[in-house]
Amino acid sequence: MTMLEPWMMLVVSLIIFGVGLFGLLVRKNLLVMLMCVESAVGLGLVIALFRTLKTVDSDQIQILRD
Amino acid sequence: MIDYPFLAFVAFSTIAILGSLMVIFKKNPVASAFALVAVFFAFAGLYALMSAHLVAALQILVYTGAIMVLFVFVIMLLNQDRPVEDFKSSSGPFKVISGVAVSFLVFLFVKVAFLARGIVPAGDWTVEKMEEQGGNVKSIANALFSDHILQFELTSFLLLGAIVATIAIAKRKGSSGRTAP
Repeated sequence: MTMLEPWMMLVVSLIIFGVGLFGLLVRKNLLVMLMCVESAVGLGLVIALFRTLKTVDSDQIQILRD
Repeated sequence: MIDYPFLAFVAFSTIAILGSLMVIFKKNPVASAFALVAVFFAFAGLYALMSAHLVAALQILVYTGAIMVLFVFVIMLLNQDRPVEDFKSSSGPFKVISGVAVSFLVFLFVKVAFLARGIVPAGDWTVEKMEEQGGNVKSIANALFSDHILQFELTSFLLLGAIVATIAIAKRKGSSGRTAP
């Protein structure tokens, strides 16, 4: 019987970390970006931004630049 | 002889990796959210395989039960349950560079993980030690409410601060919190 070793879990978690990081970099929809980082508190920020800017596209959110 | 734990590990790992890929490649945020639910269930399975039964139960209760409901609620609240083409609108070279950079990073980490193959879990938190103390729940509760009570209380203050800040940001100045009929 094959023993499940910690390094096996580590490899799986690293692959999923990589997928999440890639998603965070290439997606622009804030909701999907938050799913990539699993941040629930940030959803409040998304709601506040949407009420102000009417978009969840991170490319169009330039309030600091303006 | 069939090695059921290893088969379960392969199955849960495959679901977790494919599900996480679906989260980022699905156009509809609702589909991404449901793919994430599958990922969370697979994580719970992996935790159970590691004998972390309390964490597996918490994973389903907290992440799948509460946080995903919150995600779906926000998607519906913002009326975002329609396909978005944001992945295609990212520039091609940026996607390639990101993919290569992330793959290289993961490759380095995986190489380090392979080097750690011979390392055997030790200390007070091995499966055997926790079973001696009366199981997952008892040993974690003992540690949390005795040695680490200060960190536990500080975390509760941090979460309280995050809740208050979120409400303060969401309720803009002059907003009554009600929408027009």
